[in-house]
Amino acid sequence: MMKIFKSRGWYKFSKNPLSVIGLLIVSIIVLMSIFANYLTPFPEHAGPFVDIPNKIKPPSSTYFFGTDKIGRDTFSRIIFGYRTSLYLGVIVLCIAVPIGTSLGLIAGYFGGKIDAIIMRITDIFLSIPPLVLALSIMAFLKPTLTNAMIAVSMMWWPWYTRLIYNLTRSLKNEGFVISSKIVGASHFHIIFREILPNCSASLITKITLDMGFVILIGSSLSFLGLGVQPPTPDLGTMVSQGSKYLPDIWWLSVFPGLAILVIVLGFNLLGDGLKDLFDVEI
Amino acid sequence: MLIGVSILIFIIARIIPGDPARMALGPTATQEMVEQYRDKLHLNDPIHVQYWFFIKGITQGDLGESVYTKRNVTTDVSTYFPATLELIIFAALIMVCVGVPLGILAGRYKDKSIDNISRLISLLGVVTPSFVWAVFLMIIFAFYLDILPVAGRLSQDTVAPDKITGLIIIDSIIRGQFDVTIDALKHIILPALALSLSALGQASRLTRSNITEVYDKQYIEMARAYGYNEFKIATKYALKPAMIPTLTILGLDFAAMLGNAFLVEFVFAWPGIAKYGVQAILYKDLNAITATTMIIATFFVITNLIVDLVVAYLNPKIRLSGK
Amino acid sequence: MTLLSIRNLEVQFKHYEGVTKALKKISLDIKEGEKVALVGESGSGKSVTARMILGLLSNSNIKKNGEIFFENIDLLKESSSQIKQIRGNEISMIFQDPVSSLNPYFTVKKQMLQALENHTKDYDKNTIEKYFVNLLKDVKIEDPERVLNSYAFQLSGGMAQRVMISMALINNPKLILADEPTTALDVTVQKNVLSIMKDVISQKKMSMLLISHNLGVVREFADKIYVIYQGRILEEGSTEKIFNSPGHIYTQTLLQAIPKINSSKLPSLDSENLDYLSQPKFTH
Repeated sequence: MMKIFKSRGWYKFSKNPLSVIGLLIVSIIVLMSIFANYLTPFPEHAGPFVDIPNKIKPPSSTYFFGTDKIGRDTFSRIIFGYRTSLYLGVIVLCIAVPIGTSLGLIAGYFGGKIDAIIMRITDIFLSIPPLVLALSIMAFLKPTLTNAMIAVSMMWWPWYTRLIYNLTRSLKNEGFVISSKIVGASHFHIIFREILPNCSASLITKITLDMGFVILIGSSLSFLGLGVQPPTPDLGTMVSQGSKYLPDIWWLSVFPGLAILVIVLGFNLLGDGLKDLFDVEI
Repeated sequence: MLIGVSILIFIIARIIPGDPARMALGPTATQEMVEQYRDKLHLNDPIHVQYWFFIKGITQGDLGESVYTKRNVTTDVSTYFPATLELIIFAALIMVCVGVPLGILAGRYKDKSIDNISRLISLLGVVTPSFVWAVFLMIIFAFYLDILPVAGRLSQDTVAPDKITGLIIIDSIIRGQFDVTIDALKHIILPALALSLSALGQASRLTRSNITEVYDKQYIEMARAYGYNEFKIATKYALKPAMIPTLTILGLDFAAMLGNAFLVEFVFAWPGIAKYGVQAILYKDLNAITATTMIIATFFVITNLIVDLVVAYLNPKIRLSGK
Repeated sequence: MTLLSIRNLEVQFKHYEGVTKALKKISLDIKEGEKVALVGESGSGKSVTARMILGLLSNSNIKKNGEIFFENIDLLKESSSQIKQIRGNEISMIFQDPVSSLNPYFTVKKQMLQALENHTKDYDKNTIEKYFVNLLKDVKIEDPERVLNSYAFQLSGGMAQRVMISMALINNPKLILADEPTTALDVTVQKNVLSIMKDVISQKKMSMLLISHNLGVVREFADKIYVIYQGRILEEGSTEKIFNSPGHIYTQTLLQAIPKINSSKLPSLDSENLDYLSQPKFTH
């Protein structure tokens, strides 16, 4: 662990304070949501908890961000909301990245007809505004977290196909790929041992940046009531429900809104830092 | 491209489990009614026949009837789309008029304080969902400062001008009802601002990076060596090469606003296509959903086409190679 | 009459790792109508010199000292608006890569017109195209009308560099700086462009500072040569003297490095092993 902090990469990364702030935000949020049960003041408020005497309390030292209509602590619910967001982000990328990457590798490496078919389909997916595509998929599914993940993954893989496709096409003509072709390496070897490792810097950077944007889209879906359903705590749902009580109970929408901003910002700063560090174009 | 989009939407609409007829009619409907309805929607025909009806409908401008409004969805779309169009045009104006100059300044004065401020604004724009902006703007301007209205396109006692284009601001100007124009402007500012902020951030980031790239080019040094003044370089000589690639992305951003319009219209009760779309989704209104998605995709594709044509016209390399 | 006189020019770049001295007190003179060459390897500070004359390197991270007199005014002390009046007007510059020196989104005509308009608004619109055509003919361009309406990417390297030369002539400057004007061109057109440039400049009696790493190029072209190495002038003298009796070891090594038809191998220019700076400056 200490080795990382002594490395040249860390030195370069830490030169930019914004990247370090991004890393801090992300690590704090990840840690807090993993240990939400121990770190939040009212972990039981994450579920269908009711505490009528303490309803609609403004922010105070007990309830940092106030309480909602049925007395639940907004702060605790935000931390659990982060857990939902991160869960969604991780699952979506776990589905979208392998699909998108392998299609991009195949299309870019083999070219020809298969390239044309894959990239046409990718273009069609990319020609619908992302949120609209997710919405039209959600339209036919029950609004649940799982379905929201499916919908967002469906709209996300084409971006990876295009990124990896472009990288593969240029790597294909690099000396090290050609030379391993000459010594008779298999397609499998060339794709996974020669090309893919050289895409990893771009991939890691894009995944980091996308983590934030997936969370943003996920919260947008649940804001419209098409994603995570109550009582599961979710930041988008909280903003949506809280906005009904504006302006009097402002804390119900403002704090979850800020919470989304902070996590997306964190991943964005971190991703930008990685982009500079690896010197890649996304 | 549009054919591809239509197939995609069609497939999504058909492969996903659940019986749209049953969904539309609700649990109280008899099996007979459901069957009748399925016939009406051509749901009992083989899949390619269904697609044929679907395409025939699109080309004839007839996308069937909305289950929810009981009107032809084409009529619905033409009622609601102008409101959205007005909103995104206004938002796009803000995006271009603020985002691009911000990006130019940042790129020109790279690493100076103006660059940092501009980058901070862009970053906040990009990382904040537009519905959060909508809520924040509403709290500040509509509730706290109380200077702008909360919802709708017009105040309740204001009558919309007779329809010409469907864009209230333009219609009221044509008809000379300037009080209506002002009322409409007041209503559009907040939703348009909320909608434009994330696109604005992207626009200014992109402009910045293209401007910086151009400023490293030899021909800028050449221009300086020939006594061009910096203003002329910034507004013309460097701007044109930097803006041509930016334009393509601006077109994409403009079209992508349609997606975010769903969120903003929801908050500001803006009677546009996105709000109609959300309603359609909540009521499982198959034809309305298809129509909404189709019109948005069409708009998206057409915008990109126009942008491509403009870019091809502006870029001599493309223009001349085409001949 | 001395047209340009650089006196003890010192330039330092401040950057993260510290300070790099790009120029260490160099002095250089160009007389009216004289063609002077500044020769050195890459990184020796020769391009920096040219850019300092036009004030193209103005940045808070650059520290400069000394004087650059152009017709008795010190360019280093002039205001930026005054410098702008001189740029492209009294002193113009030809760059290394002609195709990327032309803006890809404007026609040659538009850029020539702009170069003119930067300094005078007072010209006859009807005859101006004729003037450009003649300038292009001066640099041996066969179809000037087509070239005027072309974009940079439609021109070959040699053609683009000839356009750049005529662009440099537009305002009848007294001095032209040429930074490796033929390096980016194909070997076959290098000589051609060089002789065109030489002819047109001699004909118009302009002065020139040619910056090059190639002594072969310089021999054909210059009246006088300065040899620069690591920001220091090591030798100066007339072309004839430098080629016939080079005084400094570095110049001698450079001369040996010019490939000759009858020699079978190139001598190595191993700058790490020889301390060229230990020998004092040699002036003929």
